Amino acid sequence: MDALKKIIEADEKFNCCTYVPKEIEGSGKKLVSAKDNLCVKGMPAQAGSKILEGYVPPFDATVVERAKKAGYAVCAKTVMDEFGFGTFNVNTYKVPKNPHDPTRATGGSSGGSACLVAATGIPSIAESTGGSITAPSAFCGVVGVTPTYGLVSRYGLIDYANSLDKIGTMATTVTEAFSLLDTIKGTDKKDSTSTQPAQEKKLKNKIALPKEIWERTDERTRKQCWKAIDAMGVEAEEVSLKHVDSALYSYYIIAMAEASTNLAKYCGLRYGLQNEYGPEETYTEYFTKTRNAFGEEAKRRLLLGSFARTSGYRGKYYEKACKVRTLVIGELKNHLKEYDGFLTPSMPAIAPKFSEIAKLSPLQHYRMDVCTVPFNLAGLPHASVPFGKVDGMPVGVQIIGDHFQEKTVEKYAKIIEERK
Amino acid sequence: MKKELERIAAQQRLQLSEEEAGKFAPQLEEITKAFSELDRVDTSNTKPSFHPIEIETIFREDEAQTPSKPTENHQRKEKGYLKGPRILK
Repeated sequence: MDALKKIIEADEKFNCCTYVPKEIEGSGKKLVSAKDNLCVKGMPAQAGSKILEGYVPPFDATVVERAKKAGYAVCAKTVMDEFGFGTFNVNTYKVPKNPHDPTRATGGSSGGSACLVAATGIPSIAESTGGSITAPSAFCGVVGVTPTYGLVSRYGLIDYANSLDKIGTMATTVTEAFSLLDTIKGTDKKDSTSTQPAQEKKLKNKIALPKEIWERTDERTRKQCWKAIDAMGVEAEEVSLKHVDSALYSYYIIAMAEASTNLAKYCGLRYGLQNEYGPEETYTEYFTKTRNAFGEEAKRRLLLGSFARTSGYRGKYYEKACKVRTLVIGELKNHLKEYDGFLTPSMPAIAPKFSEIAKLSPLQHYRMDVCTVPFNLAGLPHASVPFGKVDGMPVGVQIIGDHFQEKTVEKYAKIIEERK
Repeated sequence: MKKELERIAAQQRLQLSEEEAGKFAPQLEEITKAFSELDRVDTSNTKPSFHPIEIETIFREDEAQTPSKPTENHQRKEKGYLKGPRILK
């Protein structure tokens, strides 16, 4: 079947695209989709938000430029939680459905990317701040790769939290996901945080199982992931990560604080939503009126982020969170002196039903990120690989490596993939 | 929390409806209480991390760059200028 037809069909069934071009530019190109927070020249980019309605970037993000140079054509922009604010991809104007069971969520925030990969097999360039590649990859049964912070240029990414955002990939196989990562990675003078990879470390053939994360996982998901360890046949030892809960709170404080400054630029003038205004209406009134277009979760995070760094609370919340981040990184790096990496379930449970998600409080939502947040806070590379099913829904196993040890992550991800 | 909420909403240029304020106030209370769990972590000799890896400061020559059509998405233009609402009453 024609690729565009397949994409449109998937979108009609599962709500996974924000934009599909009328035709693919150039013939014989390899296809790739891009999460809607990535700028693709001439294609609308809203990052899941109504405040960016009408924005058409006049340039390509560095990752898109690199993919195009390597012979890829962007065949779709994919739906996401507003600015990446979510675990289930329900915080936006177009909510994707899980291709394995449309009454369940795809996971977020790169839900559209994972959904389109699962439905069509076309790889995707996605992005993770606290788990936005692993969560939807696990829920939709595809491979998701989140690289080390700084390996991939963020130029042209509509940012959520600058010290946490990482552009990565999704595909149906480990080889394809890492090959796409090789295409888009590399330093870029347009992103001062993009950096050179460190040398490859010698393998120790030993992985660590963080007890506190496994304990917070639903029993059936946990048992399924244990089967992966048995099948892999590698030495695996239990370790303790005593900062798991602190990592979760530290992550949310830092992410929200950074988001609340990043989103200050959306005032409805230079790009995106541009409302009408009367002759007496002042700039501040117009600014405030336009920002009402933010969705509920975006407003909640703007308020919390602003609160955490405001005078009188900055030391207690933001600065404290940054210090706790140091401890989390230290604890993880300490274990990585002895082990090649960590292995955990990708998510604490299978993809929830929309009716179940509606009953969760915001705090319960945030706690669903316990498997992914510590490693994202530390900027460690990781991959989620599908490994069997529970109740007919995919389960993902997550393998995490040391900074810039993507080759090690790929090696273990391949073993998981081969033994499933 | 309600007073704090009004203050930070104004800082963020957000005009919350009564319904939104009523919903957010207890949620923010619950979430910030959870965040306060960090008080139990001893960070007395710990430096903050603003990035997960060490970031070097990068310099470039002080030369003009050509941005890619930065005003292309602005809808209201007049005589080569961008038009916006008035600043003063």
